[in-house]
Amino acid sequence: MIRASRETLLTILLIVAALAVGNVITARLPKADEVANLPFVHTAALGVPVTMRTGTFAVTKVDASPIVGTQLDTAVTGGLFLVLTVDVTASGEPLYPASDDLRIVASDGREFGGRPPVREVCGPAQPGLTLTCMLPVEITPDALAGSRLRLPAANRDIVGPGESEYAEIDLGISADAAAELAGRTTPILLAKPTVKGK
Amino acid sequence: MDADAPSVADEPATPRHATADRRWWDRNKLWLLLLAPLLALALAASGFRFARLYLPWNYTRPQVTAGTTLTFNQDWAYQAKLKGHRQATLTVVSVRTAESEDGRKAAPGAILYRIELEFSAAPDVLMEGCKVFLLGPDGTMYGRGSGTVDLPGAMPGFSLSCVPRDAPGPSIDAVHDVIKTSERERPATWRVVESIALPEGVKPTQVRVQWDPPDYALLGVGT
Repeated sequence: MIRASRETLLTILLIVAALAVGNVITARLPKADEVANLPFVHTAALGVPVTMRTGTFAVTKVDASPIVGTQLDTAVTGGLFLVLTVDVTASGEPLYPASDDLRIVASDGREFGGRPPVREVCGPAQPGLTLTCMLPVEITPDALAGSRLRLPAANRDIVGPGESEYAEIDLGISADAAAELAGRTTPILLAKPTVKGK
Repeated sequence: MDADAPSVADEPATPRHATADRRWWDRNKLWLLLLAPLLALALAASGFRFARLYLPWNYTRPQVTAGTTLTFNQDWAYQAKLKGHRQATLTVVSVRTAESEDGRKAAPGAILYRIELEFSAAPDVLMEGCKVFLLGPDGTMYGRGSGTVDLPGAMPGFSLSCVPRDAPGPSIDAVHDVIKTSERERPATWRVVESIALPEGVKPTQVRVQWDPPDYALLGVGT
């Protein structure tokens, strides 16, 4: 009798211990969905080309103004338009870079972006030929310092999962540079996309 | 007495676990037979993530010739409302470099190619909405609208004319969801000209022509 109950007690303790250990392990292991949805992030800095599956991208210049325009239209903001000059070299097939899906992410996590009020459509970029585009993003001046560009590899598909590969490019805007950019007032004319010669 | 009574050691040599398995198979025969179909159903039910792989929304079925003429066949559907079949003979007449074409010339670092194609189809076949690409030796696709510079004072065409402008033949009326035909019957054979800029140093090796997914045509560039 005593032997049986000792065995039973030991079995119960072992089962509880195994369940507890198993619980701790499964809580700490990543779940399948989390792993499957991890994005492919490429980090880079201003001026450094980033290669993603759709092509190579580089932000070469950062400018700012409250007034931005094309030959047909002008937009004025109470905040600031950050104008990024981006070099795009598509690979594999012609590409329209994701100019509406890109985001400027401030150091506190705020995101700015979306379809700008004026734009020169960037694309199609021919594989092997570098296309230079000027992309405006409306932003508040206090979000400039330490901000980075999150550029998806491609535009979002109408049907299907969101883009999971993107570049995080540090725009290298220090607090002093941010103050200087916020003080600029010269209107910026968005140039049509041009192919960079060799 | 004990020596005469049968004991466990004298029973025929079937191990105990085998006997138990056989009984388990028997007991669960129906569910075991259903196991494979149910697994297949479970996989299919979680397959929505892969809808883009099995629905014909990408260009996945090439019709290829190493030569310059191909008879292209595909079924097309407009949403769920209209259907048809497209049969056409496509011929690559020439792929040549050009100084300029249709009001555009190559941007610096690029060379402009003029592609002349001949299409041949019955007058009631829907032939609008084609796209033409050049393929490089590594399979890279090059398309229109990129790598070119507008000539001053010129008015380049907006899109490729896949059918004769004055007699385009059938087209889809997207407002009323019907197929409408042009007044003039389309000729049995007509020419299509496209211009594409390729980076210097890249020679085109194939011409790609496509309408609706998933089928597309691949032809050689000829001599």
